[in-house]
Amino acid sequence: MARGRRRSEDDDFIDDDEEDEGLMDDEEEDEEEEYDGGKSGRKRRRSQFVDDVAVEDDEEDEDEDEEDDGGRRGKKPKRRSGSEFFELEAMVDSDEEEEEEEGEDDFINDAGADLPDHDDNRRLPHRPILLQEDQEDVEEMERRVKERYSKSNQIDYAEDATDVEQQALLPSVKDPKLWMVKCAIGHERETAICLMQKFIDKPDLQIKSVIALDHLKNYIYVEAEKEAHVKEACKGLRNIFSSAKVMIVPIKEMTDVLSVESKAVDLSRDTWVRMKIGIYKGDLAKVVDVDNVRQRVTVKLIPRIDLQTLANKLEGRDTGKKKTFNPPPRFFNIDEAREMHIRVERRRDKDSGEYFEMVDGLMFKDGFLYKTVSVKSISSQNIQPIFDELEKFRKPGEDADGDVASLSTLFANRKKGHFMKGDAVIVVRGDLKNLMGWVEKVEEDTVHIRPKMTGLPKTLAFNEKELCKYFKPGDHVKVVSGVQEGATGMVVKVEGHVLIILSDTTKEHLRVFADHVVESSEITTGVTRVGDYELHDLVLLDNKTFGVIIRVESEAFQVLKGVPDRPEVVLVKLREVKCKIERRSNAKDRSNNIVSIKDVVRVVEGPCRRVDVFRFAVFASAFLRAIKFLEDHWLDLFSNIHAGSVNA
Amino acid sequence: MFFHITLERNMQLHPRHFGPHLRDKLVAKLMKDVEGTCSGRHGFVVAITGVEDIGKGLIREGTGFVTFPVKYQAVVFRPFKGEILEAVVTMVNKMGFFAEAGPVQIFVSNHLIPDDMEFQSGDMPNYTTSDGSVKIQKDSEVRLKIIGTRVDATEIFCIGTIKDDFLGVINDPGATA
Repeated sequence: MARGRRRSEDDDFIDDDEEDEGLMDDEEEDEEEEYDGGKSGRKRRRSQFVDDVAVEDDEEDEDEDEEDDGGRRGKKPKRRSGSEFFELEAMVDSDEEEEEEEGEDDFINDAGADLPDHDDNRRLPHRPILLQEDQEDVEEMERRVKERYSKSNQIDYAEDATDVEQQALLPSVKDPKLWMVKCAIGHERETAICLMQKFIDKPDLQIKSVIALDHLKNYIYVEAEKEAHVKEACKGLRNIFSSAKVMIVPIKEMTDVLSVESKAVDLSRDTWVRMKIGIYKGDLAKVVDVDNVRQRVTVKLIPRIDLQTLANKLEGRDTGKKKTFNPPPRFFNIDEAREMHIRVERRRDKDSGEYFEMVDGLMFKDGFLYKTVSVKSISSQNIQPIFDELEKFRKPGEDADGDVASLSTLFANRKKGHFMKGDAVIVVRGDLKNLMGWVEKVEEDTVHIRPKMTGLPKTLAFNEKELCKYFKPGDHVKVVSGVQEGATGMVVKVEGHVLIILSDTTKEHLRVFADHVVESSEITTGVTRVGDYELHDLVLLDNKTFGVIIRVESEAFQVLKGVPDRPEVVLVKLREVKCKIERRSNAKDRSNNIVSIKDVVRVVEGPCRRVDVFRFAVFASAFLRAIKFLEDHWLDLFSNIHAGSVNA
Repeated sequence: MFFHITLERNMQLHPRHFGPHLRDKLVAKLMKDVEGTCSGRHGFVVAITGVEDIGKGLIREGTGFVTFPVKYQAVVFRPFKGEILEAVVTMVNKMGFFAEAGPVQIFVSNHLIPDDMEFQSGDMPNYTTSDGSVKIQKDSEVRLKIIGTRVDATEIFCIGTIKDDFLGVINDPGATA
């Protein structure tokens, strides 16, 4: 904005303004004092405005800085006037948001009822006040303000308005309408501010308010009685196209425009997220920093970087073809990079004070890539990091508290009715961290627990998020969610909030989150069936190979292949299994007696001779049991029991 | 822990045993039926020490079997959480080792083996300290503490730890040999 123009336009005014600055403050103080004597409710309101001004002012600063770099001196008064105006606008806006429809409606009614007076009010703090210096005017203004807000004071905001009252406050046909105006994308705020400025400069504008919503791009809302008023106001603004149509917002939808979105995405540090786009799509990332204003987050990732390509790029060599594959995630190694003559800078982040390795504009630390991305490009809902991923993220030196991160994510995915009476829990957050107790009562999000420590009240109430289930080694538990769902076992070790369980079926270790298990005396075999196949089934993989299912995972099996020479265990997907071998075949033992299913045999040769007599339940289970007891000697066993007969 | 307790059982006896040695037959059958079994409440019945009382027999209609209520004294073995036991290692693998204390099978996970002991695979898989002074392998005798029990109808399975003071190998046949 040309400083010269402004100066010539209202030179006097500016001077006045500057001279009056001190005075202004005095006046404001006076006002405050007087209000003190007046109704306290009003004073509270007033001070709210002051806060709002402060906040809005900052934002405006930013906006304007982008807009123009005009002379400081010329700008100052303008800015001031802008913020004066803002005071009112901000007040209206915040009212509307805080008190929802009430505030909004009240304002509209007010404005609708006595328009001229209202207009006066608007301009008052800006121009007339500055020119008037006597105390009388302050009193006059006080009177006006009183008049203006006397109405709103009658409505008791503190009380919960009943539905009927709320209904009465909804906008009606008599109120000004809300119009949607298309503007240049990304300039919504700017446009709104331009309109405000225009309103200051041209008092005859007939619009009531302008709203730019952060979540709505490409549009602003203008409140006015008639469409013509909107068009008149928008005329000549460079961010609003003259051809743009002005759309009316139906009365029913007016409240929705300004209702606060309750679905606030709770992104906080240390939560797990997944990337939605780019080469990291689907990768797990950990939030390290959130910038709510700019809607950006800094995440920690395992880099997928091909050092060779990077080196080529830095040296200016063209790799020729564009790479089509995605490099696998791997930790960044500085030494490796240096070997390839990639320049690695060490730089200190000015905000956090931490050191990062910079390569080609990418930030690395401890092998992780630190990337700042838009909030929109990550998903934070329903993230269930699997163990392998978490393991990779865990630094060797990190203690058990390291999985606080995974905790917060886990908590978000908790089912309803997570805690039940009698559950042993431990407090994981807040002052009473590490306090143990038992659940007494659950009410929605609040859990009442009976603390283990003596000397505390009988029951304490906690938010569900502050608690985590607690298990001791030796507890018998059942996994109720997650990958291992259905398995039961005994807790062998508790590592923070991760349990190591010895499965009842496989006698193997499972790692599960404490949150995913419940104490149970039930003994299940775990998942033993997927599709048509069951644990211990003999299956045909293709025409040549067969094997025995020795472990069932979700949608996959571990199959011990029937290869006579060596033990070969492969992971086979469900769809890769051709069919089940149902044939009940007989085999001959060493003395040519026929051995059939369910016969009892004794292994007489080889190192497994000592193996006790076992039931020859299914041919396959002979392997299985043998494996269980003698992982190393299984192949001798295998050859002792003629493999060929299975094939036959 | 071992207990000497009195138990009761209704014994069914086939009519062919009726005769002068009925009582002996009954006791023999009792021993055969009961010794070595396991119940969740009492644990393993190790041995019957004496028969206190044999009640009046009741002839079953149709079959001719006779049911005798028998009171007997028996030594039972029931492992408890927190109990210290001595056991013989039966199998060692990378996840830990299995040991037996009489009829009870106990698993000691590698998480519950002192951190300085590492798994060595090979012909004779074992857990060894870094200096090689202590070795846990098959047939080693260990003292362990039970931290959890699971009672099935026919067996009691325990998990134990040797990660505590005064626990671990007490006599290693491999080391002396």
